Parts: sequence; C-alpha cells; structure tokens
Amino acid sequence: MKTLNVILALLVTAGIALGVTELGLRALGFTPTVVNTEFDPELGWRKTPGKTIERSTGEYDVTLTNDGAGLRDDYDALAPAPEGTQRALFLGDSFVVGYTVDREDLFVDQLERALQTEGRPVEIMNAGTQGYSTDQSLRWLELNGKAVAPDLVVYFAYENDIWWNQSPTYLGQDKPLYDSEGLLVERGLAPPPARHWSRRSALGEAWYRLRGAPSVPLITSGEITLSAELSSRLTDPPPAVLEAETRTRALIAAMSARCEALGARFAVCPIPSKTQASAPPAVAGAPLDPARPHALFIEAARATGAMVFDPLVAIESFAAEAPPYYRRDFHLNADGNVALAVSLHGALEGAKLLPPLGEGASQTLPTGPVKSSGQVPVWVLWYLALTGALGTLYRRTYPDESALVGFGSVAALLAVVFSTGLGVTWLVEALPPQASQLTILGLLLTILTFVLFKLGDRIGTIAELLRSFTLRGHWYLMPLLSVLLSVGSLLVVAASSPLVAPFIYTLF
Amino acid sequence: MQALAQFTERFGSMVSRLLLTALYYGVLGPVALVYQRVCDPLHLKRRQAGNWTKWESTNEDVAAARHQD
Amino acid sequence: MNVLGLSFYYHDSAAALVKNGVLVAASAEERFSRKKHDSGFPELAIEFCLKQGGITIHDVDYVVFYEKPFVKFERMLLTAMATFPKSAAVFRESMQRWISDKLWIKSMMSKRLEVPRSKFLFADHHVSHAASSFYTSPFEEAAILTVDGAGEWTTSTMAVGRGNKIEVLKEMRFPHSLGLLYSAFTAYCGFEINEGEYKLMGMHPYGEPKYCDEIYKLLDVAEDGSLWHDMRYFKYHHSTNDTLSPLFEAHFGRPRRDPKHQDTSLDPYYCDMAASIQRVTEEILLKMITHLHEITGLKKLCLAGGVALNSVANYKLMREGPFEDVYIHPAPGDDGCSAGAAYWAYNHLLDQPRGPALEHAYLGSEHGDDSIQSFLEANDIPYRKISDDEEFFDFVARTLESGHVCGWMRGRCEWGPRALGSRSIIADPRRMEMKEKLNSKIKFRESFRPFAPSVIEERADEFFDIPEPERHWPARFMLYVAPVREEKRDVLPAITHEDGSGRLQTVYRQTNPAYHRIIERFGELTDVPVIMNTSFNLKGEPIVESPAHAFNTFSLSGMDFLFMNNFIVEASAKKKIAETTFHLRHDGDSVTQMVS
Repeated sequence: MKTLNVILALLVTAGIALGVTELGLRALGFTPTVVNTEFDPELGWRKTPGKTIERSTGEYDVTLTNDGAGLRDDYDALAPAPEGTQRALFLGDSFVVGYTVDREDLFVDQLERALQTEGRPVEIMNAGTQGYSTDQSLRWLELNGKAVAPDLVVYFAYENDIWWNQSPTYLGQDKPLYDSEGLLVERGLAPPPARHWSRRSALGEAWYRLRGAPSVPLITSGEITLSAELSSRLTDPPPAVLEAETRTRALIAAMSARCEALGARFAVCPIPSKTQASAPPAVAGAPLDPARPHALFIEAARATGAMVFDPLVAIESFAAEAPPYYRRDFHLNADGNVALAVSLHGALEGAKLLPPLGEGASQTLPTGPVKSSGQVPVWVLWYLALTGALGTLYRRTYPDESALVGFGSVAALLAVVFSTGLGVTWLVEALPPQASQLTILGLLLTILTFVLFKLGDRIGTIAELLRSFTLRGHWYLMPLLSVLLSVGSLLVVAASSPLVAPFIYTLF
Repeated sequence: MQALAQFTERFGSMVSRLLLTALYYGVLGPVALVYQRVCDPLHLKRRQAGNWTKWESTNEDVAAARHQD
Repeated sequence: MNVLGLSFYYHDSAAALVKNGVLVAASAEERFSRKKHDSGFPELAIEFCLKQGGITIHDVDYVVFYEKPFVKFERMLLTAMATFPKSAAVFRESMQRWISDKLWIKSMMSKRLEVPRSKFLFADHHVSHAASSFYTSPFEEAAILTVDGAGEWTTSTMAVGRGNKIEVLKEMRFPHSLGLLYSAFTAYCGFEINEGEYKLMGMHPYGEPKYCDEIYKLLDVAEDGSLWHDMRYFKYHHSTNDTLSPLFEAHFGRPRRDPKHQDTSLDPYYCDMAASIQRVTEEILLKMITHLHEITGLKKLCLAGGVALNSVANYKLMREGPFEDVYIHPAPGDDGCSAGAAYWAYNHLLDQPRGPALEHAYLGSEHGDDSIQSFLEANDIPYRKISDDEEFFDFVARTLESGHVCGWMRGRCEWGPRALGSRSIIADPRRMEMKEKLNSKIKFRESFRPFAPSVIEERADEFFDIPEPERHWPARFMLYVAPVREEKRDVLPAITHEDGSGRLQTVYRQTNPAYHRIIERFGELTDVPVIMNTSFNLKGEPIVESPAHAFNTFSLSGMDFLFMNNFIVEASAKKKIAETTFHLRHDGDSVTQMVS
C-alpha cells in the first residue's frame, strides 16, 4: 500500500511538474506548433478546408480560419470570379496567408476592403500558404489557375523561398521540385509520418526538437556560417545557393509563362526582410548583403517581363513612425501590413490595373501606421479594473478605513507594481530579440533564487510535508498542496521583505 | 514606513484570502466531490459499535519524533 | 539532561523545562506578555525557564513541541474536503494561518531559539497530555484518560503508564469530542467558547438536569464511553464562527442565549441546560473510566486534557468511579502539554528514569524582597514591611478576620490556570458579603460564579466531604469541587456554592509554608482554617506575575491591602502606574481557532 501511495504521489507530482513547465514554456513563448494543413500529393501540404487554429506567442495572438476552398478567405470552392468582377490572385507563403496577423490586419484583406469601399469591382483571392516556396506557389497555379481564372497574379516572394526552391523536402516533409529549366521533376510525394500527440504541448514540441527534429541546414562561405534560409544574402554564394537562385529565376519565368497562358497579368512583389528594411545598404565587398535576395527577385521578374511591385520604400517610410515588423518574429506586423497594402494599392493604380473609382468614393487606405494610435493600452484597462475590484474588496474587508485612504492606497500600490512591470517589459524589449527570452528566463531564475534564499531551511519543511502526505496516502492532495505551499512560500517571502511584498500580493 | 507595512500586510491578507477561496473551489472542490463519495474521514456516517479506534503508534524513536507527522 | 517543552499556536502558549527528570520551571506566556490566552511563540516563558534552570539555550538537549503539526494540517485539509462546499470560509481562514505561520514552526523555532533543527522533537498532542499527568503523578503504573476538544485528529485517548513508558491503547477522533460537545453547549448558553466553559460549569448548580435525554439524542454514547456526534446538529467542523447548526436550536426549541446577557441574567432554561450538559459530561466520563478500568485492570487513574479542568466531574469520578486514586496535572489543558512533551521525550523516548512526583504547582517566576522594594520605592508607593514572618502572618490573618480583601503575592507563580496561594486575592470565607464584594468591586465578573476555599490539608476533611485528603492530589491543584460538609455551610457562606459545594484547595505546610501559616493562623483566630482564594487578576486579565502587575491590579480594584512578600501596601497608596498595561478582556476564540 505504501509503495502504491508513493507511486501515485510521484505520478501526481510529476503531472504537476510537467504542467508547470508547460505553462512556463508557453509563457516564455515556446508554444506548441498548431497545424491547419494536411498532406497533398501534389503540393506537399495544403490548408485543410474549414479548419480553425489559434496561434499565440508573447507577440501576437491570432486566429486562422480556412474557408471551404482551403484558403484563408471566404470562398466555398475554387471557381471563377463573378461576371464583371476582376480577380487578383495572391500567391506566396506565410506573409500572404497572414500567419502572424488577424485577417482584419492582413494586407490582402485590407487592400480588398479598401478597393471595394472605393467602389471598384475587384476581389482578391488569398492563396498563400505557410512554408510554401516559389515552386509550390507555381504548382498551385498550375493545378488551380484555370479554375480560379485570375485577371492578375501577384507572387509575393521572400528571401527564404530561394533556398527551398532547390530542395525536395521542407523540414523533413516532401514538396514539389522543379529543375533549373523550370520543369517539374516528376516523383511521388510521400505523406509525412503521423504527428505524435505529444507535440500538441509545448513540452512535447520541445522534446521533439531536442531529439533532433528536421531543421534548416547551415551554409558556410568563407568565415561566415548562417542559416540556409538566409544564404542568398551571401555576396559570394557557394554552388548550392547558386543552384537555388538559378531555379528561383526559372520558377518565376515559369510562373510568368503560366500566367500568360491563363490570360492573366503577372507581378512579383518581393517582401524585404526586416534586416534589409532596417540596415544601411551593404558596402561594396561586404560578405553579406541583406538586399541581395530582394534584388534577385526583381531581376528575375524583369527578365521575364513581369511587373514588379516593390514595397520597400513604403515599408521603410512606415518604419520611421512605427516598427513594421515584430520584434522577435521576422514577419510584418499590423503596421507593416498596412504599409504593404498601401504600397500595393499605389502599384496597382500606377500600373492602371484597377477599375476606376466608384461614384463619389475616395481612397480609404491610411497613409501611415494606425494600429496603436487612439487606442487605450491594455495595461491601463487592467490597472483600472484591478484598482476598482481590489479597492472595493479592500473597502469591504476593512470598513474601519476611510474609502479615500483605502482606494488611494490600493491605487498607489498597484501604480508602483505596474510601473515596475512596465519598466521591466520596456527593458526586455529594448534588448536584442535573441537576448530578451534569455533575459526573461534569467529574471525568473533570479526571482526563484531569491524566493529559495528567503525560504532557507523551510525548503526542508516543504520536502518533509510532501514526504509525509505521500506516505500517509494523500497523493490526491498533491495539486492542492503544491499551490498551498507555493502561496505559503510567497507569503513567507513577503513577510520577510516589505519592499517585495506589494509585488507578491499583486502577483496573487 | 510603518503605515506602508501595515497596509501591505492588510492588503496581502485580503488578497491571499481571495486566492484561497479560489483555490478551495477550483482545486480542492473537484477532488473533494470524488473524495466524499469514497471516504468518510470524519465518521459522519453512524457507527454501529463504539467509536474508539486503535491507536497507531508511529512516534517511538528519536528519528520518528524529529518528524512533524 | 535538559529538555525544553513548548506549546503554542493554539490557545495558551507555554514553556516548561525538565532537568534530569525534574520539572524545574514552567509558565504560560500570558503571565509575562500580559495577553490573556496568548497563543504566540512563548519567548518570555522560555527565557524564564532557562533562567530558572540556570542554563542557556545551548545547554538544552532537546526542544519538544507538543503536537504533530502536519497531522493537524492533514486533518484541516481532509475536513475541508469532507465538508465541501460548506467549509469555504473555514478553509480560507485556517489555511491563511497555516501557510503563513503554522507550517513553518520548525524553521521559526530554529531561527528564534538559534538551535539546530536536529534538536527539535515532536510529540503527539494527546501523548503530551497523558505524559503531563502520568510522569508527574505519584503512581508507578496507572491508567490514563485524556479528553479535550481536539488535538491533531485525536479528541480522547485511553492509555497505560508503566514506569517510564506510556502505551496508548485507543483513541477517539475529530469531530467526535466530549470537549467540543461541552463547548457547543457553552456557546448555546451564551458564553464564549474556549473561555466560558468555567462559567457554564459555575452556572450548573442553579438548574436541574432536565434535558439529558434531549442531549443524548444528538449523539450516540456507547457503553465504552465512546461518542458519535450526529454532525447535522453541529457546525464546528465547517464553520468559522458557529458551533451549532440551526437543527440544534430547532431540536431544543429555544434559540441560543444572547451572549450579551452573560453578566446579568440567569434564565432558568439555560441553567437547566448547563446542569444537563454537566450531568451528561459526568456520565460519559464515568463510562469512559469504567471501560478503561475494565480493559487495564489498574487501580490508579491519571486524567488530562481540557475536560479535566471540569472539577465538578473530577470529584464525581473520584467518588463514583472504579479507580482507587486519581491524579490530575495542575495544568491539564494545552499549556500543560509543554511539560508533558518534555517529560515524554525524557522518559519515554530517551528511556530515562522517572523523577519525583509533582507535589506542588509553584513552578513559575518569583520576585524577591529587593525587587519588590525597588519597585515600590521607584514608584513612590508608601509601604511598610514586617520583617518577622510570624508577626507578618498574624497581621495578615487579623486583616482578613476584620473583613478586608487582600492581594497576596509571595513565592513562585503557580503553573496552570488556578491561583494556589502565590498570586491570590484572599478574604474571609465566613462573611457572605465577601462574595458580592469580590464579584462586583474586585473581579468585575458574573455574580453567579463561585469562589474557592483554601483549607489546610490537616483539617480539610472537617469542612469538606473529602476523606483522607492527603490521598487526593488534584485537591492540591484546586481540581475538585467537593461538597462542603452540611454543618459547615453556614460557617463558610462565601465559598459555598448554590449546590453546597466548594472548589477546595488543600494547602500543605511542606509546599507553601507561608500560605499554610496564614490559613492556620486565621484558623487559630476564628476556628475556621479556611480562607477564600481567587486568582489575583481582574476579569479578562492574566494572573499577575510581577510587583508592577500586582500593584496595578490592586489599584484598579476594590482591594483593601496588598501583601507582597512581607511588604504591606494599603488602599490609600493606590495609583495608576502608566507603564503596566494589559488586555483587560478576552472574547473567547473563533470556532476556527478552536478546532485548528
């Protein structure tokens, strides 16, 4: 019986430890990968029709819903546009699908909304899929172009497409491959192994990666080693990268030809990387040039007679007012999407690809960042709500104190705590993105060390209590005990450190 | 400083009580609902023959006496 | 070998020092902190014990805490689980205290005493009770019964003590508890729990035990004395402030007595209820000891636990029970557990031989002539001193004879709740008006509560129905309420209670010669070697400890003389001493405090 109790207690305790670690990993931004795609024998993977997922990190919290046609759009099936309506088909990867923004912030929908508000009979079909390289966009066009009958095709290129264009797999998953002439290499694509259930958790995902999950290879050129996805930045690329660039040019040419066959205009929109948009132009002879992939796409487009919609200037001008990219993630944020939408609107108009404005309508897209202006920051709402709730409770708990003093004290205490919290957040954000996670981790470890130091020999008491309850057969009380002991430990620390006490109480 | 210490103590007491109430319903409650069906540690059900129980002695040497249980 | 016993964080915190098997010092913290029923860490009591024992904390071999905190914590959690969702408030309140204080007792003791953790031992609560009684008793072997509100899980035990070992046989567990049953009726009759139980006992002679049958419907009492409470009638296991459920009041058809009437009215219904629960308590205790006698076959009995403070029941057990002799420790409540824990570790755990029996309860602090004189002079208090003892005792006896009420402070403080002639207010028991005067002008307490007599042991049997008084050790500690002999009731009107009883203290020349001598001298003057003795405090105040406390209480009350050793202070010298303060009232405990 004793052995059984110990085993049960260990199991429950291990469950609690795993739960806490899971929450900690998620809090640090190590969220499990959620999937809204399925295997496709032609494309490698496609978005599953009707599927909705939530993606949440410290930087964004978005919902992605696929429509009936398997697009992040509003179609039931792939079919031509209604009579009298022009259709623009947007192809590309996570930038186009809007992997890090809600639809209301996504440039595709912003642009479509703006055009329709302007009274122009235009619709934009969003056929972007996360992880797609140029070859997969081309293949999608080959498979579905006829069905959707676009008037305009815009391919949104990003620097990491180049490397994958020479690879038969993407992170261990089969994908279509074209040769350097732009011809599809015929081969059957194998479905990926079933995704293990444990990868629905941050812990499982971390374990999967630790065990050696497929990862992006590293490329070395001279003294520089960097991720293959960035390898086109090398001003003296190795042969494998050169091969990838050759295939990329061929793919854009093939895409151009396919559009011509469909009777659609074709444009390439090279999305600049965050580094390119923020770094000064590379000096001649430098081993790395962040603008090189962007230039490659423009050159490839021009070589095939395709139009080029270059959003670089618009994004750079937005960057002067608000950052267009996320801090840690490499994608465009909501402001960056506005910049892209504005840029595209101008390009379409400049190329006279848009029907005329509707009667009495005016252009509706903003001319600068809009996301943050005019909105009350979330922390202000939290502050007010907490002050109201805790102030009222304090007043009711201690009716002997005057309402003014009670509310004032609670408001002042929360102000100190919020100021410190915001200060730390600001400090963490001011650090390089790679360092911020480490800083948060370091901060947590420091706090933990401080708590352990303050607990001193009480740690022995905690161990003794857990042992006692285990041997007395109360394994089922472990979750309750864990929380009680955590709260108790914090109360002990608070009692011994008056300066820290307000933060601990507010943490509760 | 004394006023600050007094206030934080009162505030802490209030907030921890709030937390304990949440803990009672959120963590203890679900386990308790099952526990009540399985166990009767308070002998709330009527006993048939007397209510003395045998004393289990576990505190008979210094090592055991050092324990708080 | 030095063993320090501690009890705290419940009701009456205390410290006791057992030095080579002898209880050399013991005191409740309240005596020093001046906070009635102080439950905090007994820092001052520990300081006193070490000083009295002539040692430092580093000379202490073991520090023994009187209960097992984790087991009580387990009981709190399991009770909350078993009574979910009714126990939200009690969980919140008790856990608040547990997670911030009680769980960390060992660390706190280690830090405050600067003693390594390996020196700390933990006794079981009821084993501490049993040890406090058995190891200080004169018995080589005895049956032991402990009964209180609640320890960890245990509310009552039956045990056997032989030589230096105690073997616990059986236990009764929370919430089925005779102590808590009595507390429930304390609340029903309008008194504070963990405080007003004395008052309920003092009220019982004014009523008739009419409701015993109705009380028995709330519980099952087996022939072996075990109890099973029908918990539908009680709430103390899941309420913060209420011991009784609405069903309890519905059962008796009357609501609980309004607590604000406690000083004024004596409603016959509640007097009858007090008499009934007293009768039920006695019957249950009698069943328990009868069963204990049957299963052990022993002739001596040691009683311990808060219920052993019920001196009315104690006397009945002695007279009507199957045991030849009964012993009760002078501090049978939780304060006495500090001594019990130390004894248990020394004798039972460390297998050391037993020390002598505890012949007296004068184990507290003492103030010598120098200390008293310097206090009086520093505060400009007029006094006189009669250096010759016999002359002084004669003066005291004559002062009493002439109807004066006197404060008496001499020797070491008493251990336990009773004043036994070291810190007492004394008066002439032959004068009926003394009772009224003491209640209204000095003690400021309920008029129905009786006063106790101190009688010299040699003549106790002459005035009280207590044959062979030297055999009855509990009477030394004022733990028996015995009938005043019929023919003496008119002689002793001030100490004869409504039912003709008196809570006597037998005073021995060997253990308190000065107190014995003034009673003896009073007897020589009046032929009544009995004086009226009540604790030297005001209502709600801890018994005085120092000259300053004594003078302050003297000044705040209607006493006529204050005797501190051989110093005499008259009423005209009364004045306020600013630096001596105390908490005048104690409002009892909450239900949460009572059960946790």
